Amino acid sequence: MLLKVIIIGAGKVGIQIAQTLSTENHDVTIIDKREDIRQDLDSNLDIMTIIGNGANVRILEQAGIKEADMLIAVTRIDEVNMVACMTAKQFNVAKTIARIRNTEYMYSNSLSKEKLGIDYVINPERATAKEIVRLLKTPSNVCEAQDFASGKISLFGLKIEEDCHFANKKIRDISFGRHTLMAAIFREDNLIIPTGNDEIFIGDTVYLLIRKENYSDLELLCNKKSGVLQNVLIFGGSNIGIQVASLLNKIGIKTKLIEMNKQKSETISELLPQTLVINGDGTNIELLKEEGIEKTDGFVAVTGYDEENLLVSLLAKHLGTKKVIAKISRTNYIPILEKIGIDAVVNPRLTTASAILRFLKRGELITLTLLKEGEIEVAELIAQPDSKINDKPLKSIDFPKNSIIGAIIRNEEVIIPHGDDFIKSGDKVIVFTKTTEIKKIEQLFL
Amino acid sequence: MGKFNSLKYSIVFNTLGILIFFLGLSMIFPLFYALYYQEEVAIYAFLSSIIITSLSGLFLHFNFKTEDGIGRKEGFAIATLGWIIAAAFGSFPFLFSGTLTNFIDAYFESMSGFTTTGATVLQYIEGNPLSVLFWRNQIQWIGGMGIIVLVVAILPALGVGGMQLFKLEVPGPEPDKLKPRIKETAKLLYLVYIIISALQVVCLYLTGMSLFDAITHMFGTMATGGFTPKNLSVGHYNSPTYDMIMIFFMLIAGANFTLHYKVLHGDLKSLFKDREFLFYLGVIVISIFIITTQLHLYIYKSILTALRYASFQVVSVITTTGFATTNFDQWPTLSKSILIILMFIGGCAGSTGGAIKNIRILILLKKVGREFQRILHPHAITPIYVGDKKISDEVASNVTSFFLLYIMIFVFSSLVMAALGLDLVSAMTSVAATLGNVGPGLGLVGPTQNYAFIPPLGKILLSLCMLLGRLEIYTVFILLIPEFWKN
Repeated sequence: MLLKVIIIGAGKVGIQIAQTLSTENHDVTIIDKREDIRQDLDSNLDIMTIIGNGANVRILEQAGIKEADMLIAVTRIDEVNMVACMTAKQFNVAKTIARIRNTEYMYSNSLSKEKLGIDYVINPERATAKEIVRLLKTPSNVCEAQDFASGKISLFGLKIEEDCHFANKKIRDISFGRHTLMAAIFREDNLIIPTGNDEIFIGDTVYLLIRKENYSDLELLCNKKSGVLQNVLIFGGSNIGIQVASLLNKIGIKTKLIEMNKQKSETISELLPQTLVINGDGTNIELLKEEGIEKTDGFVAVTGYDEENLLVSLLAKHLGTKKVIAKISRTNYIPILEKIGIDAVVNPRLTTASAILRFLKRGELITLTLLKEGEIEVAELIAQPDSKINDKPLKSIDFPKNSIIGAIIRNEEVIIPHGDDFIKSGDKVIVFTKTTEIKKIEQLFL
Repeated sequence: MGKFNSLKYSIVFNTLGILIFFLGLSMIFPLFYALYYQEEVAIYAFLSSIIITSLSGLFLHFNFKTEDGIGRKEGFAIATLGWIIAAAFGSFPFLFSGTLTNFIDAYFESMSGFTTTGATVLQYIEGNPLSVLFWRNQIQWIGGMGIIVLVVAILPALGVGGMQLFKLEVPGPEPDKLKPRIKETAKLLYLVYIIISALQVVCLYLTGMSLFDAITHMFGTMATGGFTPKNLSVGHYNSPTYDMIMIFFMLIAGANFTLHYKVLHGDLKSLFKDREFLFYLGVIVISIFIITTQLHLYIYKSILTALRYASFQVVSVITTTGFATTNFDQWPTLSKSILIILMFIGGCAGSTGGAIKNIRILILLKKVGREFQRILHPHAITPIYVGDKKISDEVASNVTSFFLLYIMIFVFSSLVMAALGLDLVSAMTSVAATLGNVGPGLGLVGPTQNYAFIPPLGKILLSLCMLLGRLEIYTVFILLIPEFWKN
């Protein structure tokens, strides 16, 4: 089923979602105030661009709100997003999604989702903070960690370093255990869907799907202990920084937060009584040493400046922090970052886009997450009673290239599939694929 | 997206292959006519043309398999080469049937068809196989909405590449999208085109024209092409009814098809809110008024007759169709001068008409007005508005350069034509009529004359003018810039 989607706000998130949806042939209309973006959008995406205020009814009518199935409001201004969603509900748009940054709006019950007409609220800072915490809990060479199927299965991106015991081995010679699947290898900007003959090299990032019951396998595979996370140093008192601290405090991890601005530091210390807030320059190596950076388990750089986040993270890594995570806003930096020694990078834009896409159930397809700047999509599909793919051994199915079945979820049970396994009607199937191939895969499940 | 990379030849040839294949398939329609009228020469001509064309298309398509997408550069290459090659394959039926014996003549005729110009090298039109005449008009209809737009509508997933192509072929400074996806927009435009075309055939057929004549004249009208299967053009019938039907449908074809889509959806208001459409109507009404008055004074006693001939010729020329019901070359000078001006104005953006387009003239006039404003109020912020739509500075400056280029090409080509021995009026109007995709000019290339006498070099130059006019100059010229071919 093809959807008619209206996106308000052609920022990074809006464009990422538009791109994903339009490659899947959905009808996408994007509304933005800035005139200068039109040319760029028109020549890069097969979508309709309308210049104007997305909360204006006339503009929305022009965008075809009457026939729209979905409205995604991701402008910079929370209030515009809310008004746009409220308006959309007047026109009976089935699903509305708003990005709302200000957490104060979310506390009050009088502005409940039902009354505002917003079906799903995404707070990018909160989503990013959650991702950071999830990453902190994994071994140090894990650069990506996501839970699927309500936590029954997890995806880990693993960087292959020299001490990794399966570097330079062929995949068929590695014993992963029955419940682990190597879904993809990312090497020099290329995605490889591996076969037994592929070899793993130092510098690759490999993606593993592991059942919840078998998480301990991950440590074995990594050849590293997750260790017990005891203390985390947060650099930058941004919204993300505050949220990370409060999430960590809840699970009993000690946190320190460095913020340059005196006034802000004071406010934060009131917000986070359990966190030690330090007012100072986080780029100052003496200060970092004073605060015991060498013995810190985790370091999180979340200031508003990409460059500062990067350099200070590198510094922390060199000084001996076990796991460093940097927040980066500009995606074009990402490909080189993990190569230069930063353990993991989070990008609020991709995180938000993934979260929104996960909410958009398109027919039988749900995007679970986007990896590598949106080039790879992990999707969940449900096998229909008469799907072409049903009841055949997987090895006999002509699956599109650059795609692999990662897991099958049948009656709450997770199966990591092998060539002889079957898909049955009603199964949820997790597929790993390049975004461009997703249509072909959907065909198989029709 | 490959925007700044070197040209990817594979995808260019791959797409051209499909275009040529479908062109070959479309020759089946005249083949039916050839079989129906039992025109033996034409049957063989069309059979061999179909085989050569579709096989070449398939060969290109399957020989150049690729995963690449169409970027900006590829778009320009596909559009320009597509038209050049389509005109070459389209000339085969003329050659194989013996209607024309010389390749340059056949190419001129074919290019004149595809670009909806309607300039002919045939001295006698009647007497040729009817199926060949059908083909001659059919290519106008395909070229009217556009061969590339057709490919965009047919091909699955061209995605962004489709938008690149679409922009290059749909005339006007900023093409509108009807639907978010370009493929859907292209399909809808063709649907509107087909509906209106069918309507015209019905109108002509019900008022007594034979089906063959109705279809071929529809091809000529809806594409604003101007080819007819008659020596005397529409004047052959000498029928006020046909004149009126033709005027009505030429007017429609010269207006923006996006508006027609809205009207078909019941939104009649948008038609009369559109500034370009109003301007277009205004120019037509004023021209008809002046010419009718003059014709009434000098030629026709009856004012109605004057009005009939004036309105037909005015609409035919401004929409760049080029049908004639009378020899307007013999009209008084003022009337002829107005027709020459109309040759430059042309149809609306997003229409099948050619020349500079009303919207560009409108923007230029507003821009001139703005200059006066600026002299009076040097610090004033003076954006250009057409209706309630703001015209960005980029578009305005693009329109200015387009106008300049158009005039430069006109002047240069007129000089060449004069050097080839044509008199001043014939040289200038032959270029204006081909560059503007009108067809007949004045003097030696007037409505009762043809282009057969022009030397081969002149025919090649005029063919190029038609292409430049149809693809609106930049698309073709960009290929001549050395940087385009470098990495």
